[in-house]
Amino acid sequence: MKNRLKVLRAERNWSQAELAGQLGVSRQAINAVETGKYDPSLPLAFKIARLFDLPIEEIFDDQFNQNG
Amino acid sequence: MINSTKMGDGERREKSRIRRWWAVILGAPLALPPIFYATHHLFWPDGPFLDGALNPRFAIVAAVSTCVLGLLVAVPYHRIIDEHEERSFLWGATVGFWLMAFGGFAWFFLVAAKLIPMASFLIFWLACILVGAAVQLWLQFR
Repeated sequence: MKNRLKVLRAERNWSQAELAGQLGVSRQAINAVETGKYDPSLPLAFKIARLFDLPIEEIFDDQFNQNG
Repeated sequence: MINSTKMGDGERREKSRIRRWWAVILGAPLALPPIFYATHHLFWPDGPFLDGALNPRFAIVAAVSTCVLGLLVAVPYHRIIDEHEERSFLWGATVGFWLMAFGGFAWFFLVAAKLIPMASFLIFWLACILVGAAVQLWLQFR
């Protein structure tokens, strides 16, 4: 699943460790999400959305949006 | 919106979590040998320690304390790790389990046909754990 986490994090000038601490997960988890190696659980996705004050679908793209 | 005004708090929380992670991971391996040695030295100072002929009472104490310490490590470990680490752990455990289940049978057939030598169960068990751990660490840190 594609996501804009790296861009959003860079806009706020946060390190992966900073974001990880804010979300209560490991830095490796943030790296894995950013590189698309790991899709976060629904609770973590909601937590990310709340942290960035954005709807989930503006952060994560399941590619169904593009195809209809 | 989650509190994001105090920047740097997140990094501190992450460092604190890492410290707790390492304390749990290294706690048992570092704690067990001194416990074993001290117990053995206190109660059976004349008995053999690591030469393959353990005092039976010491062996029972060591087995029970290993299981108790294992529980004391497993519970906080699974409370500390996040969902990504949990997923890595589950895949590592899955690979280790299937290797033990089917690898053991495969080994048995080959041994029964005298194609390969009899394996030590301890070595086979350790190999399964090491392969599982390697998978877990690869998924966690790749």
